[in-house]
Amino acid sequence: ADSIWRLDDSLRLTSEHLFNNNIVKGRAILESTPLSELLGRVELPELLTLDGQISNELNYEFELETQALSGKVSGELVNSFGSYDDIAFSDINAGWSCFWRMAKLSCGQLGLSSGQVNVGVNITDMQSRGTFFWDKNNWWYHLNSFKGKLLDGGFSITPLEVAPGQDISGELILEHISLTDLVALQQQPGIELTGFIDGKLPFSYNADGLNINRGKLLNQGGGLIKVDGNPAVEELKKSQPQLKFSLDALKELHYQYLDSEVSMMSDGSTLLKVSVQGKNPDLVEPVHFNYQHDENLFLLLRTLRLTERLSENIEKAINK
Amino acid sequence: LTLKDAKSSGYLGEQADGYLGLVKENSEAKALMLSVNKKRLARFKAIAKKNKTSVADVAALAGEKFINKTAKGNYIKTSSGKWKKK
Amino acid sequence: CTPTVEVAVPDKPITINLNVKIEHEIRIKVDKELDEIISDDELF
Repeated sequence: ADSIWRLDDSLRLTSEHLFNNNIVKGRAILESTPLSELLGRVELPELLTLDGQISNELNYEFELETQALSGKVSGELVNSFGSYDDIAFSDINAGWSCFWRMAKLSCGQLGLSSGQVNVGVNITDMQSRGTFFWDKNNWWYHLNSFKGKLLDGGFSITPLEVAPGQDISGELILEHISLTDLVALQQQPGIELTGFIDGKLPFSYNADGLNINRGKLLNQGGGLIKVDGNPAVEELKKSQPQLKFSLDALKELHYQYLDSEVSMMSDGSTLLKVSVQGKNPDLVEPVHFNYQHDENLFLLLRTLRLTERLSENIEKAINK
Repeated sequence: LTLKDAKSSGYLGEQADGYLGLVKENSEAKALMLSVNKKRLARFKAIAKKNKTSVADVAALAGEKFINKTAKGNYIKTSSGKWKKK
Repeated sequence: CTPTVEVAVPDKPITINLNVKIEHEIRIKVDKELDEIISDDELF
């Protein structure tokens, strides 16, 4: 029996069913359908908006004697976009391919082939590959790879496992992160920084949230630090004149060596310790600069999302 | 059942996420909790929009504040997820 | 002439320690608005 039927006016679902020598075989194909039509039936979390085109194919076999059901499900979500609270994501393409046999579900392919999210810092070209397993008393998700681009460089996460009741731990690898872009996040006038850093940031995720413990950031190939005309630093020079000489050394510091350590608690409070060794052309002595930066990373990112939205609104207002 | 009574008689308590939680099973208290939480969310959204910040942070700040201002003897949920009388 | 050995004493480096703490003030503005919720018997 071959049938094309619609669940309701929107869903294009075609299915074929074949019955011979005690086995029922069938296939159901959901052609590319707007996600919003499917989601209309589902209670999405309050702050989540989501859309895109979804397509899926189900092949199944049901043996009447043994009552054994086995099947294959594969499909993809294309050009998906949306937002969660004030975090926007777009051009998400995801795919899945799973098998069902003897009450066990195993997805050999589950992942993103593209995606972009703006958390205050724009993360682009996201890609991930993972596998998923489920049976009635256990499940686990294994992340093989997750990578993307940000701050003129890239990030990747070492393979990790997610299972019920288990903390998640792994390492965030950063490559060729531009210090110029990084400093620009602070939107502080009178501070210039060039050079790139690579990083290894061990993280753990548990009921309290995400922690980064003693991540290392190392510089490759030196660069330049210019702290000249920054209001806060100028204020410091006025209020503590004895610091003026050494702070002036930062007006032009060519560094060959930059090493830093970063840790973040689950509430977002982040401590960055940087040590820099270099030369100021006007000074004979070498310069050792130890900088400690204490800030809540989540609040910084949210402020950046806020300023971005403000500039978008201003642009819209201007283009009206 | 007023919110004050529901709290003082130990049916409802404040949580760190800014919303009410059910301490003791009671259908009337549960209905009250759901309706109050819905109104709170609407207010959090309005505050977030006005201050151009995220609802999640407004709710978290609210949670901190509501727990501090909870009357002695009423319930609050500790970070380990257990209900405790203040 | 006797070779003279000159040990160039490395110049003592200029060391600068700078500690910066950034506070985000969104907290203060929102705080006032949450007080209104607390004073509303229907909500708190």
